Amino acid sequence: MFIATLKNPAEIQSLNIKWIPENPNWEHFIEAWNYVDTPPLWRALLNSTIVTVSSVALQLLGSSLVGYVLAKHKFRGNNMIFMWILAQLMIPGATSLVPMYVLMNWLKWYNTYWSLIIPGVFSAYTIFLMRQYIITIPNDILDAARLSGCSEFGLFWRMILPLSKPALVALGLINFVGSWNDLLWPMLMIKNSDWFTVQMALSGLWSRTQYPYLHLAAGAITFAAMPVIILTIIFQKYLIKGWTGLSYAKR
Amino acid sequence: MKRSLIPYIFLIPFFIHLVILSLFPLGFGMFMSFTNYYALRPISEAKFIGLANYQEALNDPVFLGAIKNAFVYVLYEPVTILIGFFFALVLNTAVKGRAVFRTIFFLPVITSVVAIAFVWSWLYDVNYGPINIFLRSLGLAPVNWLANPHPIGGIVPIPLLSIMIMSIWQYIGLNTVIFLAGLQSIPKELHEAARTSGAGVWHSFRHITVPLLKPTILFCAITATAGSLQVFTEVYTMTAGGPARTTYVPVLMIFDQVSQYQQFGYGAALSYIFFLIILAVSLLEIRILRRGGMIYY
Repeated sequence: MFIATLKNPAEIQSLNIKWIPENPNWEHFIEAWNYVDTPPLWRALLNSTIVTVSSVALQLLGSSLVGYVLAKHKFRGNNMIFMWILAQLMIPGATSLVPMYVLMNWLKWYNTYWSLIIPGVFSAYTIFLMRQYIITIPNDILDAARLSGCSEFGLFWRMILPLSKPALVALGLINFVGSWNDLLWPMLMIKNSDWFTVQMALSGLWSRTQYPYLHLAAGAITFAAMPVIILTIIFQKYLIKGWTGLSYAKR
Repeated sequence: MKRSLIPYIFLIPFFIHLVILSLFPLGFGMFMSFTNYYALRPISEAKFIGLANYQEALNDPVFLGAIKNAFVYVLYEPVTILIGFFFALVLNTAVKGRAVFRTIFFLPVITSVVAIAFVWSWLYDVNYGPINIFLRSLGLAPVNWLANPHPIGGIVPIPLLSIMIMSIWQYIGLNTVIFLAGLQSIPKELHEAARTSGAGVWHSFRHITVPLLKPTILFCAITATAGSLQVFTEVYTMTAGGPARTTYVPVLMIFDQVSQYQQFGYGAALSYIFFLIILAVSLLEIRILRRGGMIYY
């Protein structure tokens, strides 16, 4: 049973091809590409790419900057901010769902991508883990760079970010997966079907699909899952290290 | 520029973000939960109604049922952890192909719930689903996995159980990979020493492997609970909370308060009650972690 169900959508698709052998297999993918129409699959994939890539880029930049300041600068309030970050890790995301919905309407960010991108720029989770990582970078390197005339921002840009590459790649991937696969928040925020992310476009596809078209729906699902699967295979080392290593993050 | 000002300058965007998008929503949500605010009317029209929302929520059978369902759903966790542990033990002895297995095991974790729910809806299908085809071939009656609200043992409705089975399957891989990393961090010398002093496989498993992995087991169990209590996508895509609300969960209820009924005051009150429940569970678990000898932030 387990092995039979250990199948990603791609394998389901191939199962269907075996059941309908008279159809040449590759054309199914072309048909599947056009199977979903609210919005068209290419549009949904493009929307998701825009949202996910900008979310991940901004979050890595913003959260690692905060992580760097918390790890390497002594100033009044440092500890307080850090305590707040820890406290925020304990606050479930569902708590501010309702007020955020109202706030997004007031800011006129409802039905725009701002509402999907901006709230995640400073994430407690990413800030916390970046701080833990950056704190292990020796101070001597930073002092040497300072002495040779490097500006504080230059220090962050040219020293901290390159040195944190493993953590950035791991967190970037985890956030990419999270953002690409998210359904709840986009469902609340985006009303115009042209702007739907790919998960929104495909949610409920099962109940909309008649049995003879199952293979096409499965093909569409395959297209939607592909980017994340390809990234995971490319970066699998980083991801597994990140996911397991970061799970043990402790002070 | 004075160096002592630099941290504050770097943190300006963070502070703005913090105030507008973290602190304000938390406070505003609290405020709303004491009012009858609804449907994005001007906030000045919101009427202060004291604890009425909270009172209504605690007497709302739908909400209480949703909380019960979330706690039943969380029980998928110990099962997936045990199976993951077992797979890790098996894979740990395999020398070849470990990397390939790791990737395969990881795929369900990173694949979206929307995609997984599609596949499982097909597996569970009453007429053409492979599970029911298999049951029929054994001469058994097919089960309506997602639509028969009959509770098993009076507690777990079949559709909720079906969703739990899907989640068990999805997270086996994650737990396997984590346990595999834990197993490989146990020095081989320990097992060799045990063997030379005459301990059998079971003994060295019982007295070396299990105690050393206990923190990992606890950590896996505990970090996943808060997230699992907030289950949404699994339920939304598989059953939309039905049939007869047997799979309705708190986050889906809050979602409905916003997107369907536009009852923001009531939705905010539900969120805060649910927040307190999750907080209580997390604090309890941290105590268990501490007692288990784990350092926790």
